[in-house]
Amino acid sequence: MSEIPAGPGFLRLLGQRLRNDPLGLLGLVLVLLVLFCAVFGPSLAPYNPLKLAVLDRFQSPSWTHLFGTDNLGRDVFSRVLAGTRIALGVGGGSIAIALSIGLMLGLVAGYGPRWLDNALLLLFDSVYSFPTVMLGLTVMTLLNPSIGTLVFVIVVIQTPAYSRLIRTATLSIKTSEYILAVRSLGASPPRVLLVHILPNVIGPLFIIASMDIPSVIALEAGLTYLGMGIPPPAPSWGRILQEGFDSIRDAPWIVIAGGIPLIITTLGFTFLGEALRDWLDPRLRRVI
Amino acid sequence: MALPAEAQVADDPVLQVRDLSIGFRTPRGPVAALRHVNLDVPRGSIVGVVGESGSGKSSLALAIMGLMAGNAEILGGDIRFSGIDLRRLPPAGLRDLRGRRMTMVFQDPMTSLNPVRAIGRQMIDIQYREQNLSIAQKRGRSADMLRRVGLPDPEQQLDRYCHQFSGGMRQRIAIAMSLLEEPELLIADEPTTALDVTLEAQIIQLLRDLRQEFNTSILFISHNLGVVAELCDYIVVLYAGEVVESGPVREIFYRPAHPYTQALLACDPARLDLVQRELPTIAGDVPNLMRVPTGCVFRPRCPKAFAPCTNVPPPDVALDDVHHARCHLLTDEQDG
Repeated sequence: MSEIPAGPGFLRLLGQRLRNDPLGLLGLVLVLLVLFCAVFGPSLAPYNPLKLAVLDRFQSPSWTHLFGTDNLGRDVFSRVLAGTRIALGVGGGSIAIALSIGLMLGLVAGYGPRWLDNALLLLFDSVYSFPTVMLGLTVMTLLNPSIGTLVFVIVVIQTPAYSRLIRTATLSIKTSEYILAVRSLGASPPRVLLVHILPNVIGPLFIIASMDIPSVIALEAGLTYLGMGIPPPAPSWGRILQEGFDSIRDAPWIVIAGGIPLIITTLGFTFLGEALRDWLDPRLRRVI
Repeated sequence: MALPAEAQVADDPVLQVRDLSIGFRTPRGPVAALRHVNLDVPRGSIVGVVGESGSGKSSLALAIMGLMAGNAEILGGDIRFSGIDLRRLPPAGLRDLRGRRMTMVFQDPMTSLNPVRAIGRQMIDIQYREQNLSIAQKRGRSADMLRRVGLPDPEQQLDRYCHQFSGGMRQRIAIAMSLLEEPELLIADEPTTALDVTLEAQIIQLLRDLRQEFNTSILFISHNLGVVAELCDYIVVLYAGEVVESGPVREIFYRPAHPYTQALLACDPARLDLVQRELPTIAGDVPNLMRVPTGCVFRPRCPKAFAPCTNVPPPDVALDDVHHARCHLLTDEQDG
């Protein structure tokens, strides 16, 4: 009710910033393109991405098969489109879960009693100290490779980073005078934490998380490529790459078609994240 | 100040601190920040706490509010607020008093407001106890309070963020927030130190008006004697964690009994009779509170120190009903 002027002002500000930051604009366009493919990809795909047509195997790119066909005669273009949804679903979904858990644990560690902080830090550091891919491979080997397991692995790997970020920010804010001031006005610990500290620490988290999405998608592709990610026949980008690699001499278009969307997504989210970091910097915002 | 009124308020002080001692645990050993502090805030009065930096003024304020740092602890004594023993109150009970019956305004208005929330939202949020008021009503009350502390166009101001206000405006907003529930006690911890002189005068006037309007008692912490003389009814002089002198403002200013108070008054530039080349200072430094000197805390700097000051702690001498000082000279005067 009191926030009405914030909407159009924010959009106008965004438009203004976009014009001054071509790289950020490119990032936004690429991310929107990827999102579009994730939402409408399956209905746009000219073929069923799982349908085998062994007689048509290893066809080079043509108007019938835009990116050609793979070793089982499946349409690579349709598989890439369908893979977008998996990539974004796994990447975005696991980041969202990691972000929520990390935020909660970070706030508790930063604001809670010392012993809890120490215990959580020990936990974060232990997970942190494992090499990412090794941890992923180990867990995926022990548990059944599936989308659920993959999301679990990514959450375990990403959560400590977010928790530590939030913990540090909370620690520096909790001793600030305005927190003392709201406490002197009778605010309870949950109120201090959720109403006053949370809005102060959440901005950087979103930016870091948006820049993490491509690395998580790459991790998914990597694990799948190593045979420990999403099991076949799901058309994930990693799977397309892995299968394409086997026939890279005869049909290089498969690897190229599987790699390009990965590059687009990575660049898009990285540019957008960097631009967001600049746009949301309070020192820049205050000038307005 | 009429005597009957004094007698009446003395019966029911808003705040009564008795024999309060506070220590800090530090890596290099314990620090005795406050020792045996006595303090009364009579209902409806303004009491000034004066002292140098590090004399324990802020520790005293935070101890009363129950907001001490994690490494601080109350070693002894009583804090009574309107008859309630604050030291025996559970945290939830103390929280219920804070913001509703006792509030605090801080030194630096640049940092005492949340930077990422509009001030209206902050003010609506701190009225969370009023469950039967709608958001619009809370907003109305907030605007009303901003108007009463002298903010123009309060309705528009509610949607602005604290960085869009000047320092004086922010301190007015902080004061408005602390007065929303019309508390019995307002603790103001150097509320004008970060402001320039014109704004300081305005805030002092505002506090005086608000005392009249809400009958709020104020504990005013300052290192500025001029401001205290102008605003307060009573003064408590704190030196190195001890109350060295306390009494009505006129008594302290016209008949300072403790050598520290006398020295402090002599250093006040506003009170210098002639244009002097050099501002007088009190020689020496505040003692290190890890090793509190035996005897009188002020002895190392005191121009009038004599034999007993070295190892006998001076007694609390009552010069009259309300004027007290801790000094050996005073006992001698009385004896002789």
